Amino acid sequence: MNAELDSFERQLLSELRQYVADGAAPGGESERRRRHIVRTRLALLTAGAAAVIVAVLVIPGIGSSPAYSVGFGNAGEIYVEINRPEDAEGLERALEDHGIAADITYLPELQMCAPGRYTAVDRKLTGMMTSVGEHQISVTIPPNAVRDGESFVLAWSVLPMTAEEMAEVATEPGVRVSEGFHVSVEFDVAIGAVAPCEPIAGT
Amino acid sequence: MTSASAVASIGHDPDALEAFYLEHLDQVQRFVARRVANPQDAADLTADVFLAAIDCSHQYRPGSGAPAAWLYGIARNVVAGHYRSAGRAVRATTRFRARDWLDDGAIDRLAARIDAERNARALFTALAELPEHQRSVVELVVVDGLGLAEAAEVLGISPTNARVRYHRARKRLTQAVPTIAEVIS
Repeated sequence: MNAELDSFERQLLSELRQYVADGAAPGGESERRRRHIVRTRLALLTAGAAAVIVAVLVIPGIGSSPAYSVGFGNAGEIYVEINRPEDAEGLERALEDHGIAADITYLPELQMCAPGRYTAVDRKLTGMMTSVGEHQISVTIPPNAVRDGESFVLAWSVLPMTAEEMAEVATEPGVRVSEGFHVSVEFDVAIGAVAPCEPIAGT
Repeated sequence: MTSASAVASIGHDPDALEAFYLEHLDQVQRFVARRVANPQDAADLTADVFLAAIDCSHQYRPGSGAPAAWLYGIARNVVAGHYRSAGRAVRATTRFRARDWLDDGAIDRLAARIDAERNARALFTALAELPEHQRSVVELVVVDGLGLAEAAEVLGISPTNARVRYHRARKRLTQAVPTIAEVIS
């Protein structure tokens, strides 16, 4: 079979084989070695919601996994996993590579963006979901959910739990606490321009 | 034919990746050639599609579609990202500069493939007048030669929904496309 490939096709195959062998793909061996097993509570939101989630997040140590990953599902949906609130611009570029314009904002201390910086699309965003769990935030963007001239908007803020709050959680069966955070997540699809985020105190 | 479990393996098993690549290379190259007229862009996009497939393989769920349909869905999004970047005069940096691997022979072969798909590219351009939800169905059926059921699987919609969208699209198009009966036959 290899003999039927031209020079470009053979080179591409060789590079792809090396990419896989290096464990560079998400879920690859090098990532599995870094991953920790944690127990969390999951929170599920529907699209268009701005919500403050008080959640116990038992997360891996900082630097043990990539800050985010973006990939396609079976039917063209896009899965986003955000492990740490770092490199928002990198995540925007990764989403751009997958055909999605995005505005990603990470804020400290449970802050939120002041309302009115974008106009949300006036349609139901069926199938768009986010969950807070092992990878901190997972987002599913179904095909055609974000169209030309539109942007996926996400603002995420975390606040470390106090020692008292963690001690309270650690008494619950089945929960091993290494770190804990309060999380605020807002996501939507905007039409037209998205103004810069003006941080305000969260509710 | 690639099994569902084999798809899940391509992200960590180079031999599984090679088998998947050999089985689907022609499918991907033809898909890309129907949408871009430049051998260098075609080379980059072909690489991008397989990289995206590798990166997403651990998320593949067999119950949601056959491997070929899954790959079409990925290819559609990769090409859409190319056009979106081009429209903004920004070409996102690809992890592989696959165009750098093109020698004269490979360029000629890619150019011939692109030339062979010129009618399909013209039709692809003509479909731009359709709303997105109709265009996506017609594109897969008329440009890529999929059946309606297969196109439905790629898009994650029901076959009935695909048939309705296709029928409505035909009524809007000024350029002739096959009837549903002709597609089915």
